[in-house]
Parts: sequence; structure tokens; C-alpha cells
Amino acid sequence: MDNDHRTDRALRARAPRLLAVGAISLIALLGVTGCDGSVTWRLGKTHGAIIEPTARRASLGIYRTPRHALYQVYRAGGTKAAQDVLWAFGAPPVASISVKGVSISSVALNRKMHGYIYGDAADFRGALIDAETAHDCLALTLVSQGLYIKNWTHKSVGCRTGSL
Amino acid sequence: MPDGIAVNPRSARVATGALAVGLVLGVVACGGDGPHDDAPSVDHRIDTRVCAITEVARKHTVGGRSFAELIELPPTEPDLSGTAAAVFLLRDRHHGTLGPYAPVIDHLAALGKVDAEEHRSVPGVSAGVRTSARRLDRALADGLCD
Repeated sequence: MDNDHRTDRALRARAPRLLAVGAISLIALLGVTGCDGSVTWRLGKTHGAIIEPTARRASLGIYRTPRHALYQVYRAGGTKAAQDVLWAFGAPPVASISVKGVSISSVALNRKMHGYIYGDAADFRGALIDAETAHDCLALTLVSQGLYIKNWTHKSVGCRTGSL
Repeated sequence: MPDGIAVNPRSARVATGALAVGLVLGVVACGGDGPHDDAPSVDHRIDTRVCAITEVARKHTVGGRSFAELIELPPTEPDLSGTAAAVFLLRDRHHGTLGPYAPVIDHLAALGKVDAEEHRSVPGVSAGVRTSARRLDRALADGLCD
């Protein structure tokens, strides 16, 4: 139990994470591409932002290649293994953003990211399995109908293969 | 002093002074170039990297097997493919040399990459990979990551 607590503290103490980068950027993209009706992806080789303007929805998508690797980790070690590898796979965020009166800081995202990954294991597991079955991207929806939300799901539109 | 060699006392003082200065400079220079006592050694950095890359695998996916046993499993076996996937993902986040553990970790990462990208060609297990896996198992048993 002590070890678990130490591990959790260490994990929380690790600053900036991959998902945070995507989250920041996807929110920023809302302001840039939210009105042109397109679906836009940005960012790195492994992940990007999915914008659905009509639903006023923004999600972070984890591309097919890393999603499949995550699924293999899940298949061998269970949900906690997949969560751990996703958390350990992090990379630094780059900025704070403010879009149309809705602000979110990199500090806040970093603080929340651990909860996004570990907060609802069943939601995460279900989305990962569905994404693998449908050959989609694993997605974390953070804004829907213009409101903040947290929902693991999967997306096919705009989903890329990606690479490492 | 051999016969027939005369030493000018002034020259001797200059030579002695020069020797002393040279020794001091040599000591300072050598001391400055050496590693600081508190700087992590190359071995320590390799150990840290190896532990980070294999952490999820060791905790969750190896299924109680040693790495030497794991690499001999069929590539479709979940324990192997899951470990390979975890190593594949985490190797990308921890660049740098891996010393004697490089062959087995790079083999697992390559296996994970092949699977994730859905290629058909699976890398074979070489003698070097087996040796590296046994060395990693011994190091882990000796507390490498404890």
C-alpha cells in the first residue's frame, strides 16, 4: 500500500504529460477551426486533436499505432497496465490557452491529467476495447456542446495511423 | 651530480619554480576534467533508463516469466506482445544507450513496433538477444530496479 502511494505521488509529481499537450492544443484549435466545418488534427506523431464543430466537441485522439500498443498492454496486464503505460508515455505541455472566454491552463491540465487517465477505469477500458475493435483512435473528449466534460471514447473520423 | 656538469643556482630556482607551477596546473586541470562525485555515472544512467522502460512490463505484463523465457514465446502470446508493446511505447520516451541490455530491449521494442504497425515480418531472436535477456534477468534479481 505504501508502495502504491509512493508510486501515485511520484506519478503525480511528474510534470507535463502527452495528453496535456494535445488537450491544450485541441482547445486552442477550437478558436482556430471551430467555424469552418472541417475536422482538424494537429500535433505529434502519436496523438492529435479531433474537432467536431457541429457538436461543439473537442477530443484528444490517440492514433491507431499507439492505441494498438496500448491495447496489447491491456490484453497482457489489464486496465491498470494500460493506464500506467499511457501515463508514463507523457510529454511536456507547452502553453496555457483561452478561447472565447473559456480558459484552461497547462497547470490545471497537468493536475487533471492523472485523474483523466486513472479516474474511471471502466470508461477507459471500454473505450480502449471499442477503439481496438473498430480500428479507431482512442479519444478523450474534453469539450462537448461547448461545456467541459471528461469522456473516454473512440473516433474514426480524422483518426490517423500515426507512428512512434 | 655527474662530473663536468655545472648548475647555475638561478637556473635551478627557475626550474624548480616551473616544475611546481606545472604540477599545480596539472593537478587542477586533471581535477577539473574528472567527473564530479555527485554526478550520475554512465552505468547509473543506463540502469535508470532500463528500469523506466521495463517498469510497466515488470509490474504488469511479463506474467511471472523471466525476460529470457519471455522472448522465446510465440509473438502472438499476450504476455510477449503486451511486454513488447509497453517497451515499444516507453523506449520512445527514454532515449540513450542501454549498455548490455540494449539487445533484448531493442528486440522487444522492434517486436512491439512490428505488431503495432501490423507488419508481417517478426524479428528473430539472436544469440546476442538471449545473452542480453539473461543478463537483464540476473541484474533484476540482484536488485537493479529495487
